Amino acid sequence: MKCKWVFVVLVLALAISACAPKATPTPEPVVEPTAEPVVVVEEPTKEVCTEPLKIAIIGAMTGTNAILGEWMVRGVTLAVEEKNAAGGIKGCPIKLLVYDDTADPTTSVTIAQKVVSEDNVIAAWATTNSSCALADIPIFQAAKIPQMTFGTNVTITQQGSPYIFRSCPAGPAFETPIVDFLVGEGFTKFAIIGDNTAYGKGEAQYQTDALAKHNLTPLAYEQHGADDKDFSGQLTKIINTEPEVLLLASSEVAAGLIAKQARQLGFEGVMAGGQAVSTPKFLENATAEFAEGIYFTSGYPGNDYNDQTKAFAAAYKARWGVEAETHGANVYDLMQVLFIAMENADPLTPDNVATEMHKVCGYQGLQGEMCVAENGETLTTTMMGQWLAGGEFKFLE
Amino acid sequence: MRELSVLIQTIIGGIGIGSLYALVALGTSMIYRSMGLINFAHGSIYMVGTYLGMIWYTGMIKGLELPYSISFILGVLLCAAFGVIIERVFRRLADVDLRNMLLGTIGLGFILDNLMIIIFGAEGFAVDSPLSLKPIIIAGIRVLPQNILLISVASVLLIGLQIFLTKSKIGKAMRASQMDRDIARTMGIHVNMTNAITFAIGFGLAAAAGILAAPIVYVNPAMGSAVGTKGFASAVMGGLGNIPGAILGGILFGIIEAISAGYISSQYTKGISFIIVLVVLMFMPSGILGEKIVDKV
Repeated sequence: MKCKWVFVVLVLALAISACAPKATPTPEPVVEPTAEPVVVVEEPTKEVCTEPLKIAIIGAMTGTNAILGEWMVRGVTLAVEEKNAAGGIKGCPIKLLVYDDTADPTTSVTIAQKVVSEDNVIAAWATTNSSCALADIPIFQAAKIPQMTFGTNVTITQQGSPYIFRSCPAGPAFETPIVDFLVGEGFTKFAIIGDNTAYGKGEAQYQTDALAKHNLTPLAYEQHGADDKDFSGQLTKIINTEPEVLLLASSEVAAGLIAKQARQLGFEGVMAGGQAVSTPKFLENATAEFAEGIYFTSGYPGNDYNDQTKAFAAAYKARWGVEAETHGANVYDLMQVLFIAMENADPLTPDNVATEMHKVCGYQGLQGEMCVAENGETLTTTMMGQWLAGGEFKFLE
Repeated sequence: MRELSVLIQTIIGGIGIGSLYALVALGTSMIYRSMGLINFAHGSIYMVGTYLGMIWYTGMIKGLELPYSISFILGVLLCAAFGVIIERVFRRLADVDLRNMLLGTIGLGFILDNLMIIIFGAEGFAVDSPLSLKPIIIAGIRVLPQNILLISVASVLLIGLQIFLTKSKIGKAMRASQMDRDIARTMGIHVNMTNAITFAIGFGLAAAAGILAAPIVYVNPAMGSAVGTKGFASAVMGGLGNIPGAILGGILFGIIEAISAGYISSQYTKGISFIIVLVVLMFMPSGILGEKIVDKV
């Protein structure tokens, strides 16, 4: 009798865990193909489609940084749906497979191995954060499958893999302009706070390197765990060193909380950070009141920048009901590069797609002109902005 | 002097977060004391309780935005009622093999975490503070109004709980059941009812902790994991099953964490905090206020 209840609870746990979106593929495709697979007809460029072309998305779909996974899925899905509506790739529709690695490198590697061995994908997004992207590189390199990421750690494209592609500028492109600008404004006392992941450590390193070019060193560098929400200990220590500038090297949620808590603990100096600080999630956690005046850099010039960004923003809003932001824009950009490569690849194999991606140069994306370098970098410049009162922002000249 | 104010500021921050851990540790200790059951799902209960409060405050229920105080009471009561239901499930586990019990509570945690993702989505949200975001400054020490609320409400709840357990008839019955269930039964005490009340209180305290912390942290289905682990460590450090010990353990853990971050190394704060807990247990295996078990020959 007693064992029966134990058995019931265990079975329930297993059943519901099996149904939950944790490190398992969704039972149904995220994107249904809008066209049936077609057989080769007269034109020799048409591909033989016995099944849709598959692209995997591996990223943090749950956990504190689930928003990153959400942004990646939105941008990729929008691009794929538009492409499918236009007839797919050589008449073949594209299907997405979404996996949750919870931002854990071990889980990400397990999923990547499954993707390359079982899913027959033409390309993959892997992943939403630098730690997992780095862990997955050897797997996709060995499988000769293009791997795309918006992780900003510079070492991602220094592993020697011809199959890795970054959808946004690397970390130094975000942090160096901020430091150069603030030093130019006369500030000399900097402190840094960041998380202890590959992303945070990378951003902090780029900030330190940028300071070193001006013969400056940070007065303090404090770290925190990726899931931490209280930073009073670190911030009290930093504030005690009396910095003029606090550089943020954390992801969206933590950076926002840090900005708020820093002001509440009495820090009155300047705050600045990279791409994470430019996002709506940062603003949500910092609140408009405490975000005001904070500088950031972004690869995406904003939804109202030109006709292309306005069209993208309108399509994004219509599809998802929320305003477009930088991560969705940069994955959308790299998807267009991927589509060009897929159209040109003959035969259409992952290896050929990667080769063709490296040939793309001069594509005018939302973030500017994209040129795929030998190491997989696509963009090198960012724009600097600042949060204003009421949650508004502006880009600086 | 400045160094002293920095130290005090650090400790104040630690007490704030420590109050949170104390409420979670208290629930863990009460359930253990009541049923001999270590509830590894308590962090998930903290998360569920937070959502049960926030759905009323943030307009998730048909756009209804209730005042924070009402949302707090509703969240605590709903989570307490949930505790009564879970007690019926755990009642079977309490007497079976320890491994089955652990699996059961771990399984419950997974169920709750994934259920909340299914219902509310994986993406979390920030919560507007019901109080001013500007700190109160006393002699150069800054304290957030929300932290003052957290510490105050936690203190009221803890004092109220102590009075309830020592002065009320039901409280005395609960303490008798916790000491020896069989004898309590023979004395006419409805042990299952006292267990249910214990669960209700434990779950309610976890919800209180989460709802009070919500405007300070970020609400999402993954928020319970770290707090649950730290709450458990706090309960163990204070003396598992000991009510004042849970409170002391929680406050101490928060202070240790803050001082580790501020004075030792922010990079290894978590590791340092748990190493200190281990050191305490090496010298006081039952916890700081735990019952000392003496082997009589």
